[in-house]
Amino acid sequence: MRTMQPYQGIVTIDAEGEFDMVYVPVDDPLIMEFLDLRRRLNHPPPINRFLQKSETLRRYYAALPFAPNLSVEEYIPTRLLSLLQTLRSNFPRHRLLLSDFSSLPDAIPGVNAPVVQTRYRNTTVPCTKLLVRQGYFDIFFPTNFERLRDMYEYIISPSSSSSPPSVDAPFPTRSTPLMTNATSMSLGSDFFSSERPSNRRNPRDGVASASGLPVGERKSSVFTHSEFMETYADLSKTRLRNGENPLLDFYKNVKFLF
Amino acid sequence: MSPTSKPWYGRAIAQCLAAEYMLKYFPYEDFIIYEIGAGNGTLAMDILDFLRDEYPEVYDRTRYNIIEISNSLVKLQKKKLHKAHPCVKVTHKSIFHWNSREPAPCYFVAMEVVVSALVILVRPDN
Repeated sequence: MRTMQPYQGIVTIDAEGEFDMVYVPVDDPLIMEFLDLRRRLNHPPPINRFLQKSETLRRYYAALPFAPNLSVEEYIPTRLLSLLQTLRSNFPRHRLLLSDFSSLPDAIPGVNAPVVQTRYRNTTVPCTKLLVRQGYFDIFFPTNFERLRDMYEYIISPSSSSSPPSVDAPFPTRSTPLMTNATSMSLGSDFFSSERPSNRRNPRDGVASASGLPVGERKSSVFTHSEFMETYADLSKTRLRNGENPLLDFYKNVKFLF
Repeated sequence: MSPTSKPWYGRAIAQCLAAEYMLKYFPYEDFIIYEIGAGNGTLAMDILDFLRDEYPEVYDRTRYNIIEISNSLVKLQKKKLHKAHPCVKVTHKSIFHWNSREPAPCYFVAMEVVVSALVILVRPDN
């Protein structure tokens, strides 16, 4: 806590099959990459912001009796980060539609912490600890969609250096009858306009937007379940006689990124 | 708890993707969809049923690719989908070992995959 050095947890299993967690300084490359990306996006770690800023305060805090030497544990979506990198390198012209749970009830303590649950006589029982016998429990993680959106847009933006654009051959490598912008972007797509809309990505050479103009693709946005369904679902089919619509009222903890 | 298995859910997803595709690419490009975490294939089935019934011209251009890590789910998905929708291709592979490149415009669908599979490393911060 005093040094603000991040530690990673490693699960250990002893000879009797008991689990424990040991904390060591972060050396996993994916975790380091995630932390680095987070710094660049100005996503703060889950520590009181006064403590983050002042080393003196941290020293006083650490000297308090019973003060923890580690901050609250945080769970980070490292695999999600590698999924986004795969999308960038192997699906360069994809559009992502991702939906998941933005929060979960009965989660264990910690930031972005999961629910650990098991089934007992056909009812679901949430547990209070993470390290449980393998195979008997389901572990579910929530997703912070606002941070995911920032991370996603950063990773797939052409200027991002977080993953090497090694396979990014000059675009496009295939012919298409769709109109592409014939002029190079080297002039700058804002040549005719002084403003660049903030909800659009930087345009790429050879790829036009839906309108045929070289203005860049629309950036992804976060939608709640009901916002998404109001836009795309046929609500008349699910409206109940009393006027309620379970399609909009349920799943308040589900969000979409599109 | 999960909405993904309801038909109205698949129809809304299909409507969203088809609208975007028709606006941008139809009829010059194929409608290419990739799905991970497809489970027993219900969402794929609902999406494709909807396209076939509501947008037959789009359905004719649809190529639906499932990337599946589990061998038993691969079998289940093939059995369920291949007959009804020949445009489905199931590939038994982890997305983290995916090494081919898709140069065409495509839609990548990931429903409820983060919740159970994508967060595996645990640590306290600082």
